[in-house]
Order: sequence, then structure tokens, then C-alpha cells
Amino acid sequence: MEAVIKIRNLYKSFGTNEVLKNINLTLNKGENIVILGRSGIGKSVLAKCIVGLLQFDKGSIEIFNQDISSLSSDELDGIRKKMGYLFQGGALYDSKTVRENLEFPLQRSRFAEADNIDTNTRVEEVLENVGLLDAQHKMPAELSGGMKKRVGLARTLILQPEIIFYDEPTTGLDPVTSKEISQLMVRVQNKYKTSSLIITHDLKCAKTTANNIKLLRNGNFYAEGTYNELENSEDEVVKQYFN
Amino acid sequence: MQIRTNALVSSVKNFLIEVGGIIDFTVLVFKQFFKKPREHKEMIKQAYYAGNKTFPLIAITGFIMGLVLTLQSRPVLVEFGAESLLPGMISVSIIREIGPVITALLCAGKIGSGYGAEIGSMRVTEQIDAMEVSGINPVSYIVASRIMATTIMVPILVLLADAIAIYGSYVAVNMYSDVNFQLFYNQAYNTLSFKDLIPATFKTIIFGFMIGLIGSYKGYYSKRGTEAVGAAANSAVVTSSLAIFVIDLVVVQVTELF
Ligand SMILES: Nc1ncnc2c1ncn2[C@@H]1O[C@H](COP(=O)(O)OP(=O)(O)OP(=O)(O)O)[C@@H](O)[C@H]1O
Ligand SMILES: [Mg+2]
Repeated sequence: MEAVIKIRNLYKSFGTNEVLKNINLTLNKGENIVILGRSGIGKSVLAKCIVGLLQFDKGSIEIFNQDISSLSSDELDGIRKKMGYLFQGGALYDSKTVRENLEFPLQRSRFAEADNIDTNTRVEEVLENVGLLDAQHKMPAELSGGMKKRVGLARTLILQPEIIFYDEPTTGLDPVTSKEISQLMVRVQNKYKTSSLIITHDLKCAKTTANNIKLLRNGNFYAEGTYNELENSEDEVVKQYFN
Repeated sequence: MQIRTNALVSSVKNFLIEVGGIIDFTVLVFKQFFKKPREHKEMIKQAYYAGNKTFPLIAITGFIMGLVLTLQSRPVLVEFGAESLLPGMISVSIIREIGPVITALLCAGKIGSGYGAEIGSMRVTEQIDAMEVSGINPVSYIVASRIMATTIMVPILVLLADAIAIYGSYVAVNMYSDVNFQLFYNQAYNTLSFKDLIPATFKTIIFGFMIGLIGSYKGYYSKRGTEAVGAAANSAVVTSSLAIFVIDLVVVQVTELF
């Protein structure tokens, strides 16, 4: 199997707060890895280190077989255009409408020059997928928290990234929408052969989407395995998460 | 005594760190000016906002400035029988000093603080991070476009403020005597030389650049949290106002050399 992300011996701390201690992770093409862990344990920090939003202290991260700390900012931007990131809070551009939020990255994406993409069709298709076609002319301030999240998801998906980072994609959504979003994530995975790193607290979402689950605890992966393996684990710590 | 020295040392240190940070940021921004894609559309939008937002304020202030300055100076000149010098004196002081400085301070308050708050909240809500991860350069899209916008708009706003202030002065003169505008204008214009105009205009370009730069810098490196956004806006105004006075001082000194 072809690895798209390889993390070796990663360390990251903020002052005296050692958040990540010796993290090792390999994400293969077409694979969904779910990262579980308590609030404040460093899940978002890990994802941000991978995409280069945070500088890590030690270790190495390879994406598409390129060591990201050796890349120039232009080369890094090239890699970033093949990745998508759904932020925990949505991170919508609040001076732009929902529609413009989707069009803006698309106009600057790797598709922009390549072929004559039909922006309208694409925008409408992804909005339809997250059930927000009606909201396309609204400003982010007029949306609810869950709607923002879904627009954020649409904005990530519209670029058809090869690797997607989902930071709590279903948090704050009702159960029905959560389920739809989880299923959408699986459909995207199957259709485009995307690889994803999914950070979540939502076990149903983990069950639907995960090929592999990793439990982050005290700066390290405490346990890993498929959903069934972890669900049936005898380990006390793991049990706490699964009931 | 020890404590006071320590406090002094640490505030000097902070000041130097701040200056270093701003210089670094300036270099970063300058690199963007030579890189593609250039954000012309965003720049024009920002220039339009900046002009639109501040023009009414600047117009009113300019008018009152000219009016009050004239009313205050007139009695003294009348006493010396030099009333005919009034238009020239007022226009020189407006164009050389008062127009640029007051307008720049108003822009720092209005545009600079706006940038601090706006960019700060983009930082806090991870919008800047979102741009970065999709391979869009935030320094170019958000910062460089805004700095270009203020560098262009502030000089234009100063020219408008000068013109309105001189008109205000004309209105004040007319409260006492009936002078026609042509005569007033000629008197004002004849006193002016290039030596008044060039440094004044040059100065406003730097003011514009600094207002955009400092506002953006404060917002861009804003700390996380809502409180930090307020602090960014606030310190954008304070720092850029201070910068305006320092630059003014330097430009005046340099002009004296020629
Ligand atoms: N920019 C930063 N500066 C300093 N400390 C930070 C920063 N970002 C995160 N931290 C710290 O790193 C730790 C991990 O934070 P992180 O956001 O990764 O948590 P998380 O696992 O994503 O939690 P949640 O599930 O609540 O989102 C926290 O203790 C946090 O205080
Ligand atoms: Mg998080």
C-alpha cells in the first residue's frame, strides 16, 4: 500500500506543556484514520503540525514522500493545494457569502488554470451534498453553528483533495445530519480514493468512517485498531471511550 | 531603584522586539509585491472601503479645521495690519502640517483600528489558517492589498481635506469681509511653492503605508481570544499615531536640510 502521510517520532510542546510525545503514524492512500482522545489532549495540534500551521519541535513528517520541513513555502503551497482541512469552528471567511466562500478557494485551486471547470455546477453540487443549497447567498454571520460546519465541509470537499483533515466534522450537529455527514465522508472516500484523518468524539461517526482508530492519550497513541477491535477491548482506558 | 531599572530595561526590550517584528513583517509584505498572483481586485475593494468610510469624517473635520484656524489667527494679523496675509498663512500651515497630520491621525483611528480588529478576528477564527492551508497566501491577499490601499488612499484623502479646509478658511474670512473666492484663492496659491507641496505629499504616502502596515501587523499577530482582538485594534491606533508624529518630525528635519 502506498503511504500518503508518514510521521516519525514527532514531538511538540508549548513552553512547558508537552502536547505530543513521540507520535508515529502512517496514513495510506484511500484509508480513513480516526483519532480519538479527550478534549485538550492535542488532536488539533497534531493535525496542524501535519499541514504546517504549527512548527513541530522534533521528528519528521512526510507527505507524498516529501519531507515538509525541507520544502520552500511555494513547494509547501503546492502540496497544500492537494489537501483539505475542515476546521473545528468552520473558519468561514466572514466577509464573503456562502457561495463566495466556496468559489474563492476554487478560483485559486490547482483546477483553476487546468481545465475549464464549471464553477456553478460544482458549487451547487457540494452545497446540495451538505443540504445547504438554499443558504448560498447568506453571510456566515446568519448561519447557525452546525450550518457553518457544513459550509466548511463543502468548502473542503469542493477542491477534491487527495488528503482531508476533518477536525470534529459532526460536533454540534443533530443525529440525523451527523449520520448524513458521516455517510458523505465515506462516499467521498470511495469515489475519489481520498485518504482522511478524522478527529472526532462522535463514536457513531467513527464507526461509520474509520478503517483504523487511534486513541491519543498523554501525548502518545495509547491503543489502535478497527472499531470492533477497540470496542471489544478489555483495557480499562479503552473501555471508558466505548460505552 | 533596581526594580525601576528592570522595568525600564524590559520596556526598552519590548519596544525593540516590536520594532524588529514590524521590520520583519515589512520585508515579508514587500516580497509579496513582487509575487503573483497580485491581488488587484482586493486592493481596489479595500481602497474603496477606506475612502468611503473616512471621507465624511475627514470632510467635516477639514472644514472645521480651516474655519477655526482662520478665526483664531485673524485677530492677531488684523492687529498688525497684515490681514491680507491670512489666506496664504492658513493654506501653508494646512498643506504643510495640519492637513496631513490630522487626516493621518483620523485614518489611523478609523482605518488602522479597523484593520487591527478585522484581521485580528480573522486570526482568532482561523480564517487566516484556512487560507494558508488551501495554498492562498494570506500576507498577499489580506495584508499587501490593504497596505497598498491605504498608501494610495491616505494621500488622496489628505488632498481632499486640504481643499475643504481651505474652503473652510474662505468661509471664515467671509464672515468679516466680503472677499470673492478667486481673490482668496490667488492669495493662497501665490504663497505656496513646490517646497511646501512635495515634502507634504511624500509624507502622506509614508503615513498611508504606515497606517496600513501597523494595523495589519497588529491584527496578523493578534493573540488568540476575543479580548486580543480589542487589544489589537487599540494598539494599532496608538502605535500608528505615534509613528505618524515620529515620521512627521523626521520629514520636517530632512526637509530643512534642503
Ligand atoms: N497555539 C497554541 N499555543 C499554546 N498552546 C496551545 C496552542 N494550541 C493548542 N495549545 C495547547 O495544546 C493542547 C492541545 O490542544 P488541542 O487544540 O490540540 O486539543 P484537542 O485535542 O483538539 O481538544 P478538543 O477536542 O477540545 O478540540 C492544549 O493544552 C492547548 O492548551
Ligand atoms: Mg481540537
